[in-house]
Amino acid sequence: MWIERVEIRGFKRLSGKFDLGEGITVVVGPNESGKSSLHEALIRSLYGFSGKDRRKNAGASALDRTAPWNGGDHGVVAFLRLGDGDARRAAWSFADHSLQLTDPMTGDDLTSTVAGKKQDYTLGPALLGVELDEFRQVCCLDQAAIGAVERSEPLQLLLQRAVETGDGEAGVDHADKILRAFLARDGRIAVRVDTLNPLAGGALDLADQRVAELETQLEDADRSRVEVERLAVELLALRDQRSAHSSALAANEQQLLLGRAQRAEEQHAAAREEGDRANADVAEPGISEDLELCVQTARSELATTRDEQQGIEPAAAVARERIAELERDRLAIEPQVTQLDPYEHVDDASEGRVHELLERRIALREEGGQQDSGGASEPAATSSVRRLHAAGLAVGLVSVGLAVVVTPAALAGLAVAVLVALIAYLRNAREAGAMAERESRSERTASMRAQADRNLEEVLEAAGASPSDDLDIRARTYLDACGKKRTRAGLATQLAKVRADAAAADEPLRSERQLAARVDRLADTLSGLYREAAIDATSLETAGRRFDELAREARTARAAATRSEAAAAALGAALAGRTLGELEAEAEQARQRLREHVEHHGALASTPGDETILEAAVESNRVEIAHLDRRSAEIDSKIETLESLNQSPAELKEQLAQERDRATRLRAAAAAAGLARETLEQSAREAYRQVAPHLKRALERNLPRVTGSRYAEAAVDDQLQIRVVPPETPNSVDVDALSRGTQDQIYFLERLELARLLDRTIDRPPLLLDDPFVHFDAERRRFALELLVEAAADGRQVILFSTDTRLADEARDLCDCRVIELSAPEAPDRDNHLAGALVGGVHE
Amino acid sequence: MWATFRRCLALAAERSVDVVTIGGDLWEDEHVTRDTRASVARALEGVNVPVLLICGNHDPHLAGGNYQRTSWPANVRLFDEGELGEERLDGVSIWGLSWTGSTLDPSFLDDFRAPDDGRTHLLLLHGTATHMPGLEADRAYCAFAPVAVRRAGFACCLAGHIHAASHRDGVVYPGSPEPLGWGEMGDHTAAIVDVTETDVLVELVAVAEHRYREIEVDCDRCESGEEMVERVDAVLAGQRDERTHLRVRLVGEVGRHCAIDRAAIEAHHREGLAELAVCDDTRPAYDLEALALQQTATGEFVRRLQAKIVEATQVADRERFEAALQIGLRALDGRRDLVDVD
Repeated sequence: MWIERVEIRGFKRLSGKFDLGEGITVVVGPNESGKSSLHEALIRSLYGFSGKDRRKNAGASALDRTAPWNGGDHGVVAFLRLGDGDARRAAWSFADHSLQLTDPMTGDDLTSTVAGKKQDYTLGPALLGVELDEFRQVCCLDQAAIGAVERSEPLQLLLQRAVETGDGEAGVDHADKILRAFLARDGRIAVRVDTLNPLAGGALDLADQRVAELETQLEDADRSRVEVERLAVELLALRDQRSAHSSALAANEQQLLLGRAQRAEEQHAAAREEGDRANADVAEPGISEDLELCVQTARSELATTRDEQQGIEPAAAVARERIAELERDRLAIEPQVTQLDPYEHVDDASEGRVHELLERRIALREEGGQQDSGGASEPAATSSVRRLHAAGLAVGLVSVGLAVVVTPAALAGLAVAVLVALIAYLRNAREAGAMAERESRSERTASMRAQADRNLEEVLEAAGASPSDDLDIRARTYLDACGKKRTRAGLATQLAKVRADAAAADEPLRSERQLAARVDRLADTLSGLYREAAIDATSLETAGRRFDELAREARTARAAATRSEAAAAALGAALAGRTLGELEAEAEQARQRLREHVEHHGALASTPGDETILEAAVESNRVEIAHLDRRSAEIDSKIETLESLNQSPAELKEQLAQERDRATRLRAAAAAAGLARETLEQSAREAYRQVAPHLKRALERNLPRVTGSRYAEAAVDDQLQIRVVPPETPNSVDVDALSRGTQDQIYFLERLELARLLDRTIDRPPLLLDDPFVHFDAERRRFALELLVEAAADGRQVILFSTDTRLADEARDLCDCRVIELSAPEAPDRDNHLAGALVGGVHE
Repeated sequence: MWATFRRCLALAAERSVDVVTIGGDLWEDEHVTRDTRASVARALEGVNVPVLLICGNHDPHLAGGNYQRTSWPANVRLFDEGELGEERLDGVSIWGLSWTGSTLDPSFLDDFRAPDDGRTHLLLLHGTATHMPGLEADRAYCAFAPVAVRRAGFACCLAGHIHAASHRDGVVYPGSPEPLGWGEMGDHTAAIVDVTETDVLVELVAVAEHRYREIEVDCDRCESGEEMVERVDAVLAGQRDERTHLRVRLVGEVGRHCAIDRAAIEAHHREGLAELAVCDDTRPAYDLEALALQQTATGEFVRRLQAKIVEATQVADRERFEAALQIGLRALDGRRDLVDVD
């Protein structure tokens, strides 16, 4: 942008119209000629006065200080040409701080486009892209305030934006906004800008959802398809089964029909045959079945009895021998018993007592006898002594005899003989002493014997013993009778046993007799039966043979009668109420069915089967076929349903591929856009880091020219503080330490370069330089002018203010520039003069 | 499709052929409905000559699959096994085998020898003949050598699988009767095979109703969408045909601010074509070398992404970096049509 013209209605002591060049304009004039006022008026024509400038401070505001000295209208009108060729007219009335911005070509009032808050206007920022302070910092060199560019935050942002942006670009910020918009919820992708994760309901999320949905649908479709194939296999298997059952059914039906046809035919033939049989003549049987049965029974019993008879004969022979033997025993024992019968009733209860008493009595009697004899006992003793003497003598003799032969032996015998004699002597002496004792005992014994006799008599009497005068005899007779009684009892027992054995041995003989009697009885019965059949029964054998002949004839006759009856019954059953003709028609009908079945299914059966089994099989086949048909219909229906409901997997795959592709493209675009954002951000940071180096390079490019080659190397820190390396030392020194001229030169270069940087983002602001070269020597001033000419050649408006008219000449030498000469004010009536001089007092 | 199918069968009737063979992929198994099966069976029944059918990789013969669920008419003989079966017709034997799963091993040709019985033996096979150029990706589909076919004693192989028609080295591909997409720009025919005593003569008769074509439109240095429309117009002159499916590929470097509206171009040029699809393969004419020299954020941006593109070892990474570069530059240009995601 550049200022074509400015009409100053009143600004300090300045007023008038000033046409400015697009390139370099040099405003020259002596001190107090109004250069600084024009410098400030140009600035205010772009920015006006802010609220701060309008506020009074120490009695006057910045605005007040620029008020016309002559009290006239306080304002300026600036004619501006924009970078794109458009024009603007900005008419400022500073007194009421109003602005009218118009498009001089169209007359459109554009004021509202620059109306800010609190009556502020944003004309400068809108046209140049920088605020007033930054404009002053970079684009304006005020002689009184020359120094390093202060790095304010807005300037930093401006520089950052400037270094971020290439020619004709929207800038990183704007690009980032576009990318964010592209990625954001309302954009094409709809992801979280920081993580690139899909936002719910956004394009990528919907694409992902659609993919998932289609995948599910495809899985379902594939499952359905597999299920259909499985069902189809099952259906085919069922159809195979049905086919097998149908074949079996046909075979069974045909076999059944074949059987029925044959049976009907057989029934018909049989019925005819039975009819014939039923109508055949039947003879009367001569012997009844009962009679035949009785005869058979009698014969059987007779034969059985005879067999038993023969069977018992050996036992009967043995029994007869045994009985004869026992009879002999009986005949031997029975007389002895009879002989002893008188003793049968002897009371032998007292036998023992009698025997005891008898023994007692005898003992007492003997004892008494010995006592009575006294001497009788002595002789006995003597006798005993004598026997001892004799023994002694005998021993003596023998000893003598032996002595002849053997002397020692004789001596021993003599000793014995002496000893015996001694013993006999001693015994005699003892006998004499005992004699008296004996007599006393004899008396007691006699008493006891008498008592014993009495006791014996009493017992015998009580036992009924035969009387006798002699007690001993009586007693002995009694004891003898008792003995005979026992003998008889033994014999009687023996006899009873013989008789019992005989009776037992007679059993086979009794059976033999009973069998013989039964044989006779049965023979009589049989004879009677034969006679009932009018057969002579004289000889049972002959009669039997005759009976058998007659019985056979009778059975034949009865069988014939039975067959006839059965035939009649069978005929009745076969006909079952029908006639033979109807039966024949049925048989023909069955044959016809069979023929039709064979025609339809082919010959499947050659032999009939069991009708019941076949009927069951046919029924089973039909049930199974019906079941298979139902099951097949169900499966078929399921398949149809699945096929009708199922989406085409191929179509789903196509849709899925499309959606996946779309999601992939969205995701790839998101990734690319995210990467672009990230890279742009990194690039912007990196580029900004290059501001200082960039400035350094620019300074070093021109520093030797403007410093007469004294300084070639510079250093610029991140705060844009500049240091230079003097030739005297390898260390850099702060610019403030240098001469004022060198400082001005370096700060001039810094502003020029910063302005060039800002050109990337703002509409190339004009440079308003108030005596920038006052401390430059001629050579360096020329170099500086050359740089400004280069800037002007790049399209930048440069307005130089100077008291030195040579500057205008030098500028003219270098380029086609405009020169405005301002006159110094005159002393007494200078105001009027100046006013007259300045109105239209512009010299080019 | 149905019209073309019926046209093929009508051609068979018109030429009074003795047998119709179908070399697999009669249908896309996943597309088949009950109606498809019934309609195909009915159509084939109407041919009134034997129809020999093998199954291909897209319609393998599976338990419970569509072939099993189709009630084939008596004149259709389906070679439903993965081993060669023979069908005799006068002096000609046609041998066929089907895909019964995801693969079909062509090694049967190494072991098989057609009997030397004076008959002419033909092979009905669904696979990729190895002499076919540019079909390396299809080698997985029962790749067989024509020499193996001859060595096995077959006078000719009636082949299916390749959708473009060809007859070479004793292998006949009639191709798919109709092209199925822009990838099928070859001929689509029915093959009339005449077996004489001494030779097997093949005539490929075009039966397709539609055709797919692709053209490129050079949009180099186009500065506006309007200019691009004009260029497309110029190229499409003479291409308009109601049976043609046309894909227009826009190529070249266009001006940085040239806006490309594919939908608008399609709408503008759609008339007179069966289908029109526009692919934008243009690139904005950024002078990347010049941009990379700028000491600005843009220059830094270009330099960084160019470095990444150079260093990228993966195609996907490189594509992402290139896309980021284009998107970033467009954004820096203030454009909002950063990338076509539709």
